[in-house]
Amino acid sequence: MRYYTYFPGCSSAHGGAKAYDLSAQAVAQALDIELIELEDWNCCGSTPYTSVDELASYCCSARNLALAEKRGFELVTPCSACYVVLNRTNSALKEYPETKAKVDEALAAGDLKYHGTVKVRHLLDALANDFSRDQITSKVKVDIGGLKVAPYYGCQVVRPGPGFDHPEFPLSLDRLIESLGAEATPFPLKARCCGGSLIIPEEDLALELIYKLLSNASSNGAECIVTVCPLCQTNLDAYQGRINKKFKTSFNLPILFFTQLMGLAFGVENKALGLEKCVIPADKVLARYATK
Amino acid sequence: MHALECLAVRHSMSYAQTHTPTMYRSFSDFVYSIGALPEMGFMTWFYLLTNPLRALKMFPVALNLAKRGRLSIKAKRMKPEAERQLKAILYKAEELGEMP
Repeated sequence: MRYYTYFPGCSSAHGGAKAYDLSAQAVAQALDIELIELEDWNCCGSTPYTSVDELASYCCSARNLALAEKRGFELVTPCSACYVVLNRTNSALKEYPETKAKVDEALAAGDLKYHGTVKVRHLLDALANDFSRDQITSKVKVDIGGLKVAPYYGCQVVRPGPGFDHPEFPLSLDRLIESLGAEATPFPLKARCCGGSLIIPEEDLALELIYKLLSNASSNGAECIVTVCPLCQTNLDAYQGRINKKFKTSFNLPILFFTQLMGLAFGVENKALGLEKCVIPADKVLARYATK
Repeated sequence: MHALECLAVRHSMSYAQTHTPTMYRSFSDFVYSIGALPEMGFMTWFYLLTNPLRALKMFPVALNLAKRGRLSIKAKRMKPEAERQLKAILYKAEELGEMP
């Protein structure tokens, strides 16, 4: 049994990416992992809080790190934004003593102290690198051979480097897909931005980016896209209808979390993976494979 | 790029047509107040502050998400003592002023 402290993030815990949390838990169970949720965690602040008040955003993240430090396990999050923000806080506290002094003082106001020992990891890193190909393959119960999957990393999980994968041409998700028996299609834009939260205030800009991603995946033969980021999933899934209307296209690409694809291959029931939560249904594409 | 964005938001140097700084501030206000981001509440608040009519345009997307249980009205709440702890930390951070 492997243990990780688990930081689901707002979107996966209670928001639009609940399926990510469900499928992550199901896959963890299959792989004999215990994801122990960090008790009383708070929002990481994401990009917006850093932009408005950098010190407060570091303090916000440092509270989570201090709580995680008491547990002693590595901190794993499925959310790319949480991963970046928590890691950035860790780096800032190590590299800038004056910042650390202020954060320490703020944490002390909440009777907390952070010594800087927590290693923050993305769930993709943990599942792709802590398990060998054979260990993953040995759990596969459903043959998804031939399923063409575009591996979409998004812009945050591999940047800023050096991280656990290459910032422009990452491969960890490709390899994971292949070890499940599916085919990772070429996807040159796999580490490009989907617009993120800018879909709210700058919709046209974000739709243009999403359109490019869907076109790129589709023209390379993908039957579905698999992603590691809650916001990317929502943007590519929920806005596909709007894209079709705006660009006069007919995309119908299911957007799955990588943990949903893993669960599917491991024979986990669809409901336990939250597959019914996809706006673009995955049933047609998956009909060729045994689904429960 | 992110550093420039931070400077623009903090010093209100964005161009008039963009609502991005308002969105960032709304987001931060939620984190400061309750330590979480309730997506539905945040979006509603943002559209009320900027352009309530745009919320109507977003209705089909919101409905699609709500139908699939992906638009929660209820916010995740921390335990009261945890909320107090976060507030004490953030209040202190505010007192300490800007980044060194």
